[in-house]
Amino acid sequence: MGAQVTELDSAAEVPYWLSQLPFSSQRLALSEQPEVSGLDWSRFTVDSDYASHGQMGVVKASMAAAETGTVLMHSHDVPTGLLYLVDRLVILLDRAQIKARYEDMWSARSDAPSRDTPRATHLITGPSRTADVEQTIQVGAHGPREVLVVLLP
Amino acid sequence: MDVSQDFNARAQQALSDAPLQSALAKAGSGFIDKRRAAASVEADFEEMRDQAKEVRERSLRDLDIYIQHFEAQVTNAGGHVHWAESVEDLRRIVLEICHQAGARHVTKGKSMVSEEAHLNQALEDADITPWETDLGEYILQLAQEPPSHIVAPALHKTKGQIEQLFRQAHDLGERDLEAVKALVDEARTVIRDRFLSVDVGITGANLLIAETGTAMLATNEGNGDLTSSLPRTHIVTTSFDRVVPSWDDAAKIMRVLGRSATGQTVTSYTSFFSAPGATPNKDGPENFHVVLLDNRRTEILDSEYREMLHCIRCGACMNHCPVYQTVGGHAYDSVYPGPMGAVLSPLIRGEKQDYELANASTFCGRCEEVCPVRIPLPKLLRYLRNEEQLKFPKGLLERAPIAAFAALARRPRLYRWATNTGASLLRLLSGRRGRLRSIPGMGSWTRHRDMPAPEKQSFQTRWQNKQRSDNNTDDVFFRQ
Repeated sequence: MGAQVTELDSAAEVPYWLSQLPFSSQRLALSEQPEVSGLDWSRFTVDSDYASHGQMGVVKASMAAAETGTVLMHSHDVPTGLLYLVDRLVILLDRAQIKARYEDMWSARSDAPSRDTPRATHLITGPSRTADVEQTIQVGAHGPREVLVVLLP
Repeated sequence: MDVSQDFNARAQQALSDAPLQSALAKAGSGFIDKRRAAASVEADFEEMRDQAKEVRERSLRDLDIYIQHFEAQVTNAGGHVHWAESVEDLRRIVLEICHQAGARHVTKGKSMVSEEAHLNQALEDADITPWETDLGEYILQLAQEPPSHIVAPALHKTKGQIEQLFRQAHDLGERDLEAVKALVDEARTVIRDRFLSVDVGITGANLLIAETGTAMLATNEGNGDLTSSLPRTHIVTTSFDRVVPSWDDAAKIMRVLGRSATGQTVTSYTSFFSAPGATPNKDGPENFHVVLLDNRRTEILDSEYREMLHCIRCGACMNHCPVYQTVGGHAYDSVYPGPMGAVLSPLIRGEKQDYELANASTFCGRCEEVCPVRIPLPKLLRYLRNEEQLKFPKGLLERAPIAAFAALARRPRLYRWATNTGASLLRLLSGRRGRLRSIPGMGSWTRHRDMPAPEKQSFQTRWQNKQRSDNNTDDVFFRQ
């Protein structure tokens, strides 16, 4: 679906891996999730102004559905702005959190400690795209131009 | 397009509109091929359709329970549900919310219901500027045209026309907008600022989930998410029949929606919006409003057209319709074009020109074949033709031949005599060639086709002969 997938052995490797990518920018926005903010981001300048040009963002997915390669994040963990306003979105995903179907994702959520329904639950399958100009697919309509998924054990 | 003309006139106009025909050709088989590819990859696509149909049936059966549960869930989580019986009600409610929010500009994601209610006009009349964010709708806003397709609203526009519009509307200087990428990038920049500056965002909803008071929105652009989540107030404009009981039910609709519409297994973004609730969210609006439109759907629910409410607005029917493919959506002069529009428009708007749309069909049946929830569109169109005849009776010139045929068809012996005589005449006229190059009165048919001469004996005659010769074997019949 247009997203790039990488596998790493541990979350600790993520910042270095990211710094080595050809397009890598110095500035990035981080989700407040401990699994993300707790990593060593000393190579970068952390900036919470999502809408800045060339911004990269890093978030952790709650889970994913294998049926369509879709990751799930919700607003109790991740701000919606971070998911849609950056140019490149890096999504960390634990393999153990990959379910088979959408329904399996829903059951996993209701097994979680009792909480309200989050204001927003986002299922993301690839970067932003449109075909509104002569049915030609163009990536990067309003949301991120690139989505990179990092699979962790 | 002069909307006072009838469908035939608008269709003729569409046929001679060169840019439109070029745009339609580009769209042409694209949607069809993509849907076929997506469907053929799934071993159980037919089962997915059956499940989706079952979800919609079950949703409508106890619609009142589900929609009330939906309202309770939204309210308990700090949101508001508003009931709009008419399109005037919807406009009034939305304007009130915007005034309370002190909004001078609002961003809008694609909402067919907001088009149905002519909401943008009402906002402008109240000095509130609506900014469309879906790229197709944005293009149409610049062109000041209504949508021509429910999924790809600017399908009727060529790249050249879009470039023209952008040049006129944006301060571009010497930038080259030749490539599609440049056009999209331009729109991205202009619209990005708008997302960040408004107090109110208005979107539609693909489904309403009763279980948790949640609105589901499927987009590829991400504009729905930015419209709904950045401002302080989010308004969802939709109709009450979009409700499904649970998230599991929503999953079954998700499976057929993307595949039927664009051939995608799922859209890039499928989001589920609820009221804020007690647990803090990282960001998002404080105010969540859902405005539910009726506009005669309760009447439809209670009629023989009930199945029309199963529609999930995928657009597959119009993508596959030979009529739509040839004349495009504007010829239908309705927010809802194509086969589903030909059924829905007369039911919600009920004007003569809407009932006329039921005749813009050859009943080829492709629409029903591809409908993810198996709506029997040709059957519903047939009912509407009947209703059209009762509500807006046609003139003598059209009724006389039908009355004549009816008189003939009720008298089997007379019918058989007439058809045998007619067949003999045609055989005579076809001479040795065995084909007729032209038939008086059927010029538009025979201009492109030859009609083969009928057989010496009609099936009914041969059958009669067979019955008479009971002592003979079956061989006699086949040897003739």
